[in-house]
Amino acid sequence: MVQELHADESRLIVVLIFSIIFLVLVSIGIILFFYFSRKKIIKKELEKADLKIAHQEKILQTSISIQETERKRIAQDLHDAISSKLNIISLSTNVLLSDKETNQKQRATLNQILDITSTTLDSSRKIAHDLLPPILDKFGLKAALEELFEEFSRNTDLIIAHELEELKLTRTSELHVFRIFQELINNSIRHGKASELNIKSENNSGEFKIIYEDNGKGFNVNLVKEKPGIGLQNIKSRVKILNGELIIESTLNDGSRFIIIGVNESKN
Amino acid sequence: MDNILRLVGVFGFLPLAVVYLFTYSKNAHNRPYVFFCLYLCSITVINTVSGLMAMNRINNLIFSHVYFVIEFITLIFFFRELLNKKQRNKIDITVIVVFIALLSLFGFHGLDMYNLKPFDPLEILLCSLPILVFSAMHLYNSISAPLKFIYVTIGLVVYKIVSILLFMVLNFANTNGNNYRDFLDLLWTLNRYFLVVYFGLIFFEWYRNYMRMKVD
Repeated sequence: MVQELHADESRLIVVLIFSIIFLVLVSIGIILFFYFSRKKIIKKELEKADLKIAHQEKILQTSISIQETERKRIAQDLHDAISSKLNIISLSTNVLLSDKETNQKQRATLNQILDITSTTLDSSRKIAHDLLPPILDKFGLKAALEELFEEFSRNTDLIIAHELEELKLTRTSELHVFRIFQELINNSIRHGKASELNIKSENNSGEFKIIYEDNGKGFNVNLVKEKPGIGLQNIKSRVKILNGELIIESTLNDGSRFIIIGVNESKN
Repeated sequence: MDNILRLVGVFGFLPLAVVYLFTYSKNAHNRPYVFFCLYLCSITVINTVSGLMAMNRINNLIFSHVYFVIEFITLIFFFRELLNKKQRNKIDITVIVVFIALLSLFGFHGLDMYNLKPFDPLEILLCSLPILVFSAMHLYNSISAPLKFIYVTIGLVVYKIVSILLFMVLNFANTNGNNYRDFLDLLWTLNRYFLVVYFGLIFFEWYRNYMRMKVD
C-alpha cells in the first residue's frame, strides 16, 4: 500500500514536471512571438518612414528646381519685357526734352517721368539681379561669389576672408552652390550674429570641398538636425541635388562650421 | 537554500513595494504605476501578515482567499489603465461576471471562508485566468505600441501560466496531504522559483523605466 502511494507520487511528480516544462515552453513561445512580431512591425514602420522622408525630399528638390526655373523666367521677363520698354520710355522722354518747342511745364513733367523711369529701371534691374545674378551666368561661380561677399562686406559689418578655387560644376549646380552661400551668410548674420566669416573652396582629385566657418553664437547640432528650419532644409536639399555630403559642426558660443563635399561635374 | 527561498517567497514583495514607493512621487501622474504600487503594497501586507501568522503557528488559510481576490482587484485596475477603451469594456464585464461567480462560490460555502478550501480550483481560475488573458492582451497591444510595464506583463504571463497549474495541483495534494508530502514540498519550491523570476522582472521594470526620471 505504501509502495503504491510512493509510485503514485513519483508518477505525479514526473507528470507535473513535464506539464511545467510544457507551460514554460508555451510562455517562451508567447514571448518570442511578441518579440519577433514587434521587430517585424518596427522594421516595416521604419521602412515606411524612410519612404515618406525620401518622398518629402524629392518634393522639396523638385520645388527648388521649379523655383529656380521660375526665378530665371521672371528675371528674363523683367529684362526683356519691362526693362527694354522702360528704356524706350526713357529715350522717348529724352527726345521730347531736347525738343525746343517743349514749354517749361511740360519739361518739368517730362523730367519727373524720366526720374520715375530710371528709378523703376534700377529697381527692376535689382530684382532681376537678386532673382538670378547675371555675373554667375557670364563669369561663373567664383566671380559671382566674390561679388556676393563684396556686397555683404559693403552693406554689413561682416568681415569675409575667402580663398576660392573655381569648381568644376554645371551652371545649374553652380547656382545651387551660390544659393547655399547666400543662405549660410544670411543665417550667420541673422541667427549667429557673426562678425567674421572664413570661406574656402577647393578641388581634390575629382571631388570638391567647401568649408564655411563663422564666429557666431553656434547652436546645438543634434537639435537642429532633428528640427531643421526652412533655411537649413533648403541647404540640405540643394546639397542632395549636388549628390554631396553636408557636415555640420558647431559649439555653443564658439561659431559654426559647414563642410560640403561633392563630386566634380563636367561643365556644360 | 530552501529557507532563503521560503523567506523570499513570503517577504519578496516588501523590497519591491519599497523601491516602487521610493519613486512614487515622480510617477504619481502615471495611473498604471499607481495601481501597480497599490498591488505591491497590498500583497506585501497580506504576505507579511500571513507569513508572521504561519511563523507563530496560527491558522492563516483565510489569507489564501484574500490574496487571490485582492490580487485580482488591483491587477484588474492596473490593466484597465493599460488597455484601450474598447478592451476596458471587456474588463468591466469580466469583473462583474467574476464577482457574481465569486459571491456565488463563497455563498455556496455559507459565506464562511474557512469552509472554502484554500486553493479552490474554481476560485483560482476565476481570479487568475482574467489576469492572464488581460496580460496577453496588453502584450498583443504592445507589439505596435510603446512598451509600458512590459517586463511586469511578461513576468505575469509566465508566472500566472505556471502558478495556475501549481495551485490547482496544490489543492489536490493538500486534500491528500499526508500521502504526498514530498510532492507538496516540490510544488511550493517550484512556485517560489517562478516567483523569484517574477520578482526579478518587476525589479528590472523599475530599474529600466522608473529608477531615474525620464527627460523628454
